[in-house]
Amino acid sequence: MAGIRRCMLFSFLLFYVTECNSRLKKYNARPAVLATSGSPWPLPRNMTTTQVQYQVDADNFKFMLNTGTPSCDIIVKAFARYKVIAFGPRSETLKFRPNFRRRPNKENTVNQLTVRYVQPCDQYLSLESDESYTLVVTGNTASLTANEVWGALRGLETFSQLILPQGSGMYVINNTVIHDAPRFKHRGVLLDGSRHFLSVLKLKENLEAMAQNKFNVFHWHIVDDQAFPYDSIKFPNMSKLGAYDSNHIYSQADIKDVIEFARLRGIRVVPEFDSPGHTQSWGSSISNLLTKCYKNGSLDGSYGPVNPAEESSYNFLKSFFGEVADVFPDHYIHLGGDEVDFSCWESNPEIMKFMQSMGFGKDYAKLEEFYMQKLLNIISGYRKGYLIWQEVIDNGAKVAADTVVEVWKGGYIDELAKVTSLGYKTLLSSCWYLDYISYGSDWRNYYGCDPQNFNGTSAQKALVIGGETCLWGEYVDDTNVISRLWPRASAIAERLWSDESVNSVSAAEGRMEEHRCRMVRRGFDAQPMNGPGFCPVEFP
Amino acid sequence: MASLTFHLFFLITQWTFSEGYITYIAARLPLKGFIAAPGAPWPMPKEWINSTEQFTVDPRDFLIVYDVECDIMVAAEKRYRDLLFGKQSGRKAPDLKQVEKLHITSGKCEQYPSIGSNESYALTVSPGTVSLESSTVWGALRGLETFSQLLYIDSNNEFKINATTIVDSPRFQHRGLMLDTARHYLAVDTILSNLDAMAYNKFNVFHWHIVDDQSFPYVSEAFPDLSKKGAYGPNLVYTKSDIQKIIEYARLRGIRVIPEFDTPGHTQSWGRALKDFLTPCYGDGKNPGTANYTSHAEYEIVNPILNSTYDVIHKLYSEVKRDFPDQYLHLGMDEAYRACWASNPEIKNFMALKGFGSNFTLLEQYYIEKVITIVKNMSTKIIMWHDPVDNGAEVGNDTIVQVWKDAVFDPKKFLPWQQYLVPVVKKGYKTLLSACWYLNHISYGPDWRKRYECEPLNFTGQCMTLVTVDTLFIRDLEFKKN
Repeated sequence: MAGIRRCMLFSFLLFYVTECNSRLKKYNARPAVLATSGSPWPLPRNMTTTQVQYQVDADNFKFMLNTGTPSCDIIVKAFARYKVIAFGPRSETLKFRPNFRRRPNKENTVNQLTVRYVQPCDQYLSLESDESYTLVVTGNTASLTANEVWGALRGLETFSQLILPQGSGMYVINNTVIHDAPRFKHRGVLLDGSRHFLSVLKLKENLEAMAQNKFNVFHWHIVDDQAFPYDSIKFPNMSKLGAYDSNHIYSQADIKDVIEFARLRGIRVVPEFDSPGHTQSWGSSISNLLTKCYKNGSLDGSYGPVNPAEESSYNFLKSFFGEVADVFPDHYIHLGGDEVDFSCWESNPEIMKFMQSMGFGKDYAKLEEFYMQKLLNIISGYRKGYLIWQEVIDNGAKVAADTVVEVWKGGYIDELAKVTSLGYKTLLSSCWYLDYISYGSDWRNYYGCDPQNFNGTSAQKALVIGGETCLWGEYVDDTNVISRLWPRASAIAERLWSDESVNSVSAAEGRMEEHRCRMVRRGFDAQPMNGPGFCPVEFP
Repeated sequence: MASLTFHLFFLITQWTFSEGYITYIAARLPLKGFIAAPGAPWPMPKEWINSTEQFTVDPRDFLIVYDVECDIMVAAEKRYRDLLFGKQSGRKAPDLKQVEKLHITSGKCEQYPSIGSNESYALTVSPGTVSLESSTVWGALRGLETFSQLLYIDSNNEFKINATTIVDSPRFQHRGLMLDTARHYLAVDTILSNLDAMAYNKFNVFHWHIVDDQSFPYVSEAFPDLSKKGAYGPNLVYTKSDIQKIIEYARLRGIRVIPEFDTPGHTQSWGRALKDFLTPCYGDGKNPGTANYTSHAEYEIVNPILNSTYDVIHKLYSEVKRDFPDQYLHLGMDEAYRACWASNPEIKNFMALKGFGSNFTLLEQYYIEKVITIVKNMSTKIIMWHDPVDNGAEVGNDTIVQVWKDAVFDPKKFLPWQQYLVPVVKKGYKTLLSACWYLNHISYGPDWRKRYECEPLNFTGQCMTLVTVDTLFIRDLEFKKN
């Protein structure tokens, strides 16, 4: 089918310079979608550029903190990081001319970015953090202003995307003014370390990719039925007996490593220790934790969810989650609560007795509610907040008012309306299950899904604090995690950061193409998204 | 079925006997199936007898010896030594009998593999010496690969290999994998890496779909503008040196490289360099070079009525033939949409002159015959897609016809692949199957299973005609007429 070459010269409230790919015209090639040039991803809230371009002095470029801005390790390390992200390691760009000194025209050169923020750095990003920033590149000066260091991080990323390599080690940047802030405060990526182990190296690579897409929550679904790789201090047998093997374990040092790597990028690490279901791997080490299932009146050898009728269960949970609360500094812990199969509970005579004594009758949803309530109380006791999957609410449990409910199932439009009408803060993931792969340009579907697209009051809509894209691990491990996630997740990154009105797939196409190639240039195996085409820099 | 039970029995006993595998936790939902016994080769050999008796190997002085003077064997010995003992840190097991060397007796040395190459081998693992016998160096390569899979390192870091006798030969002679370097450029290193993976899986044909509508990365000396104007960029090309490197890499692994220069459709990129090569379409009914989307573009599909067209084909294909030593050339011939031809008055006149009326199949046939004549004069054999055969064209009785269409792509447009394959086979053509093996069509879940279950001979036919299978990105199978 013949492709139609398009010049992308459109705008919303924004204007940006888009060369109609003069490089491509020269070779008369026919990619299905032509990349834009100089368009950041996600799209900032307000962006104005002109045709005026400045050269960027890559060799002598400095990131400077304005006097009066309190320094901290986060910004210092970010400066070092972005020097490399923006300009690449010098060895790559001038491989054959190592002594060449680029001499940009002094008059029109940007050689410094001055960064300014007001508040002293928090140690960790939180749900309340301010990620807004203003970026101004005019008259050879470049300045980045924010309230908090987190805004500076986001602005640094945008700035690095505005710097355009011209080949031969030259860079330019357009005259630009940006005022930016995220639409949603919780913009997350879920990875599953249980169905397949993911190495710390890959987790970090993914955190870097997340930062470059302005994601700010790493939802670490670290254990599940199949494997328990979390190396617990208090209960070392959980990983000894529960992990796939001793090479597939997250040690305490590994976890600290991941949390620190995320922290420096303004990413929260929210662990999920899912219960009472999804706990098969816990049972091999914690005896009496899981419900023993019965068949025809006798034990059948299999196990079900956590036994909610045993006090020992809660003693264990209290002790275990005390450790989790210490190990993971984020205020929130994800407690799971999804897909609880009642059949084992129903078969167990002790549980039947317990139900009767509690007056639950045959309503096992009440038993689930009982369990979740006790678990939430334990977590509250540690002064932590919690996230749960939607089933807990669906099954009629009444949970604490500050619970964050994550909607993941089908029928999510109605579910969002329901959960928010009950007054809970809500996250959407249903339409963003990236483990479900299919042939073609599926990022368009993810881009089109909006978490506030339901019938509700503005108060209800305000309860939607964001969403998460989930890459469950049944068919994902180190060999494919990066290419399967990127740049598809970028569609969701923009949906969660940019304004509601930024929803045109055709407008986003060329920018997605540019962004994908940007990620490739920066070393990520971001897979092709738009049909036939190429990236100018293919193989870093 | 009996031999399957036989194998399963030994697999199970091996599982209980040796310890070279990970211990899975017993979950309530146990992982299905058997834990694979370590040292199980893939693909499954034709005949495989093994026992629970194990031997070991000392990586420091294990010898691979061969009796034929052959560059392929020299390279193979080094390659498999690196593969087995290079990075891995295993050592010999102190308590087991040792195998000291692999002795390869292969027949003659050959330069390039071909469709009739003999890839059979016999491998016997006993203490002292492992013997690998084959009648050609290609069989030796296949046997070496199998050997490299039988030998493994267990959880104690010790080399183990089971007593084994294998007599193996492929069911099909053409087992290919197609890569498309036109829709997206693939780096030479990527192609080489893929050739390694192919060799590990005993694929023996790299079908290189090198150019297409979107780009023309093949650097032609006869027509330098083809890549200058047709490639995605100046670095996104395959030079003569790149191509030689790939062919050599493949050769040493017993893999044939068959290029596809697809015409008359799929040629947009050629038109950027070659004037008057593509048919000018009359989208507005009056002027050449006007589009009528979505029927046709301004120019598309090779223009079959000009002599210059055949000059170009002749020149280009002659050059391709010099670059690619395999006897076969893939001519494409798929999806030659008619709309542009139908819009062009010169073509209309030509067809009237020739007595084709309005039957474009006859025009397609005319084109095919002229191209076949050119190619045959170069002593080249032909593979092409089945589209022209579906249309009723005659494509030459020793042409191999490749079937790609399947209802699974578009149930409204296509039939189940058997309905294309059977007529092709009935007409007496050697055939390749790819239809059920389009790996670019990804989907959630263990989709390898449905690929595995696609059986190329799963159709009603009277006699077994020579069928080979070339999978788009996947394996081909072939079998010979009895």
